[in-house]
Amino acid sequence: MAQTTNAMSLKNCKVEVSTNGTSWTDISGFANSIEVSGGERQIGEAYTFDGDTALLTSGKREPVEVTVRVVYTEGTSEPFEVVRAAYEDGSSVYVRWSPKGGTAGNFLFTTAAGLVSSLTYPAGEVGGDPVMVEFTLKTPSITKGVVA
Amino acid sequence: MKKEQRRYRAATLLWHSVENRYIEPGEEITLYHLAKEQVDKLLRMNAIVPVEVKDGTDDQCDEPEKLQG
Repeated sequence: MAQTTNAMSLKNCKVEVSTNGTSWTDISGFANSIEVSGGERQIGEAYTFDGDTALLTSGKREPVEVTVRVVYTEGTSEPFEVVRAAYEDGSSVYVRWSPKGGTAGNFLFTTAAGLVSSLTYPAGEVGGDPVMVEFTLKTPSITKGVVA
Repeated sequence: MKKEQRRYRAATLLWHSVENRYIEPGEEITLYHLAKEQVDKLLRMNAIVPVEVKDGTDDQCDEPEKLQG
């Protein structure tokens, strides 16, 4: 098959957070990185005397970890403060992102309710770069949808 | 004249950007806020399917004079 012409970068990615899964706050003006890891499906295996290959059985999926890097700011409703509060009191957070920008027809990836497993507090060296912080959300799953 | 179909059924999880809620597969929705090209894109993606609009009744006909033989 011919090489695709539909590849994209994340330069227009739209990222949002929510504390209730209903009301979403666009943090695209704060975030510049999103990474996803985990989510491996447990798979069992066994071998028999007869047969040359393994028997595989499907288990459950492990939690997914979504790490978002944002510019550190101190506004009450801005990402660092919202996530910090959830991290410290153990309350739920949701993250969703649309790689192509969040307009009609674009894919949208939404986490289930998750817990903030880690948060970097502002730190760094003398210099001119904006302070960046990072939080990791541990969530059971991510669901793909479409923006309409 | 057949009325334009404007009700659709979600074929996948959708985020309705005007109603600000998720639409589960199978739910009927309206997409008046979208341009025709955007609706067509969703149809091509199989993200939505059109819901048949019932016609043939007098009070739904836009040109009643055409019913008179």
